[in-house]
Amino acid sequence: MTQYTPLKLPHDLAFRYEDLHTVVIPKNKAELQALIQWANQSKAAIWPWVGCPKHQIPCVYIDMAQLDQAKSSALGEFLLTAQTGLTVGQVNQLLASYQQRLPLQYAESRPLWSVLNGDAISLTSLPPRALVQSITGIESVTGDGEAIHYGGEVLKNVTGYDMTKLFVGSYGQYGLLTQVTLKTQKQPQAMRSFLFHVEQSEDAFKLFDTFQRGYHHIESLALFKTKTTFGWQILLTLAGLPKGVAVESDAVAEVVKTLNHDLQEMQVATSGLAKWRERLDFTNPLEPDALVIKLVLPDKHLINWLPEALGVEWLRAADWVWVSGTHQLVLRWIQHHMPLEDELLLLKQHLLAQGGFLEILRCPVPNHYMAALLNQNHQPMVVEWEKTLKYQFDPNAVLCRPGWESPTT
Amino acid sequence: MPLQKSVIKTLQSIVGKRYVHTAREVLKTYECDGCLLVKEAPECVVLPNSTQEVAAVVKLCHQNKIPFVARGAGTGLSGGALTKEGGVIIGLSRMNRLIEIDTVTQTATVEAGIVNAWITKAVRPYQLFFAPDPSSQSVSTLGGNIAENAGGIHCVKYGVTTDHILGLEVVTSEGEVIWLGGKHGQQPSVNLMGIWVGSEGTFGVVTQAVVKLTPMPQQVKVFLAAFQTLKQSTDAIMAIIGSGVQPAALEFMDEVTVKAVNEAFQMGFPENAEALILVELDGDEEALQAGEAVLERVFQQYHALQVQSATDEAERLKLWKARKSAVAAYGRILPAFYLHDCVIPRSMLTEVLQAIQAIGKQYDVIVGNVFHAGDGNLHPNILLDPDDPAMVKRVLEAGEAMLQVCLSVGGVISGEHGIGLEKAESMAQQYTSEELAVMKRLKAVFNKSGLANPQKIFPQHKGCGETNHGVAHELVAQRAMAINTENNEQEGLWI
Repeated sequence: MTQYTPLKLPHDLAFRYEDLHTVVIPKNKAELQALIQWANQSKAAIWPWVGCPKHQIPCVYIDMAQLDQAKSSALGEFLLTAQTGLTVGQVNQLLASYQQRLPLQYAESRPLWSVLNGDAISLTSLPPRALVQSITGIESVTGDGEAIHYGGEVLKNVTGYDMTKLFVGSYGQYGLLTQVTLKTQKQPQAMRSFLFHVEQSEDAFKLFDTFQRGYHHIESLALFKTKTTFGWQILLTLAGLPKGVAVESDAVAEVVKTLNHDLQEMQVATSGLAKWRERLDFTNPLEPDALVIKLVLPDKHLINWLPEALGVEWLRAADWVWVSGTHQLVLRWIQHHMPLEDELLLLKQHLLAQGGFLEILRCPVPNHYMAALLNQNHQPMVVEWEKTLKYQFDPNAVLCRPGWESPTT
Repeated sequence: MPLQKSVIKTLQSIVGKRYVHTAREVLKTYECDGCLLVKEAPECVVLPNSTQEVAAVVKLCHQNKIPFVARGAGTGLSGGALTKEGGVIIGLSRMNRLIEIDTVTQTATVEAGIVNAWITKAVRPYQLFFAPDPSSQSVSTLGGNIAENAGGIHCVKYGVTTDHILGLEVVTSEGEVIWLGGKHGQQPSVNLMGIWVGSEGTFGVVTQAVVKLTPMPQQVKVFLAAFQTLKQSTDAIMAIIGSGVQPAALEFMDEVTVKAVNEAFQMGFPENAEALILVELDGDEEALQAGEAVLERVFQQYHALQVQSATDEAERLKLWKARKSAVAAYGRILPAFYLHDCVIPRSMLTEVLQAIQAIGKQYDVIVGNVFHAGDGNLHPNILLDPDDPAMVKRVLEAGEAMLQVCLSVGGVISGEHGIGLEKAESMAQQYTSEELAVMKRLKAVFNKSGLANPQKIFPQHKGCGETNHGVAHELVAQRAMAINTENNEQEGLWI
């Protein structure tokens, strides 16, 4: 087990940098800022603490758990200001007491900062950018130790550049988010979830496509398979006003009956959904040996590509999760049938030709050159911009992305 | 200093002689935008017809260190689409093509010069629409909407422009053509597309966009309620918001505005009403019924003097007329006005509106409020006579005091009009110098040479009050002309 080594910041910053297992737990933004400034002076790498030490490179882990305050005063207008060390579960608990919830549902164990970094997988059938669209304010410490704020408890803001777009979803490359203000929602009046087990891929795709075409109250529609489940599964959650949910639930039952009478239907208790959110969060940092990639294509093109993908052995061997509305298929390999590098490069070219792209979310081998190569944008100017952004906001490249390659200086 | 003849010749060879303008009378058309604040004609206007032509023009500007400013319809309200110290205006009005409607992915690919409303017109047969609806949408272009991250009446439910942009084709400040995002709306690693939206043309030129199309709502119903006191109306607004009902629009008009539209257009609203709110609900029948039940309860609870509602389109338009004609109606009181665009936390509506009224009294000026209450985006219109210098001075001071009130409650100085030149000096009031420096670093990533729309957004380190007042004086004087010309029309300026 990793030892936590509580340190008094900022005076003890010149501490045991050589100790790979040092975890610093800043109490507030000022301490975090001091740590980042020290890291810049010492050229030390900083990794957000994700629950386990993985990388054999000298670094300091930051555990944001003490940034755990939330302000409920704006919940009357469906806005929550929260520090990013809070977990999704803690936020949900607070919101539940106001009959509210987050606009996208994530694994409860995830800290907010890791969700905001952009690599957590939500089962909510909304595009990934819906998360950043729900953020109205941020506080962040950049890689060179500058504390900034943008927006707040205001729904519109065009004062200067939209800094939320720079810091949310960019994997913490440019700064660490310490606080956000985000839109919340009223809890739906009615909600029903169904889990379908489907043996044949053709049947599963057909059923999934039927659902994603014809329903207005879909909150979550996920198609998945993992090595621990048999065949394919579809998780469908309908939410909204009672009449609409009831009508569409009946329609679901009818469709299932018509398509294949052998399909099993079972109601999933609302609390059971939390379990699925954890299990299908393939980028969960507690699974450090996984290779996780994201294939991005419009949903309507993905559905046509799936049969073709199943013809490829290494793709077939992966765990899959596709949430309708996200335009992305996430694949995971855990030490079995991992794709070869040239196979991934070919897949990347294939997706680019169709207007999509491929991105590595987790790499089992830190510092592996393939991760950088595969994630490299095909447009040279964009690569140049990405490098300049990194230099502008983290000139000494002290901020690292957990589970991924170390920064390049 | 005029551009070198050789540069003009090269521009002519790129876009054709007919589409390069250097004549003084033509350049005058481009000397300002809808803000009418600082008038400065460009040295040249070019009207390219394709992305390749835009790229060639920008490359030429880059090589010759000539500033350039992209421009759509020129309806912007913050002085963003004009050259400040010479340079070239790249007018995108010829690039107004709708390239593709994809009903499968519910997207449209369009050129940046397309007029906003044309998109919805084209996709309506498929029961789809383009949701961002700035009040200028019948004229303003998508490129301008993207540059300003334009809002609109229905963005309280559907979101602002950035929420509906999935992909952008951009010409960089050095003249390179790049696609960011696509029909899936995503980008690896960092959301460059999102950063470009709202950058006011200071990163380069947007030439094409993939926009998200939204299914038309099944039903729409509009409610208009009059309240005896300001507090009753703002309490009602907060009660609607707090109920969790998501209105498609939630607008506010104060006493000055109600009286003005009553007098101008015989709307018949109660004379003792201090405020009107206008609520639009949309969705399926069940959602509408649920929303209507909430509104009925709220209107009753806060003692609405009068409630009107409409479902069919003609009736709905009649109710919207009061909101849309408000600014023109101000012309009956005084010939001009000075407008702000700040956003506040909605919970502070009552306090801030009361403070704005108090400021009006303190400075002896008339203030009309007509704004997007659902998202807390205020538009205090301070009415004035531009020929009365003492009044103009009071108006400017009152405007400054209002901005301070908004900032003091955690608000921001612009919600949908942008910063441009008009509010550049005020940025220093909202942000620390360190925060502004961080934003400048971001600009430097995309616009190293500084040639793309220079001098916008950031303070130029002039005497803040002096500059603001100088700019604003021009603004109010010019707006008087605008309102006089439009006095006879149903709708006034777009806010």
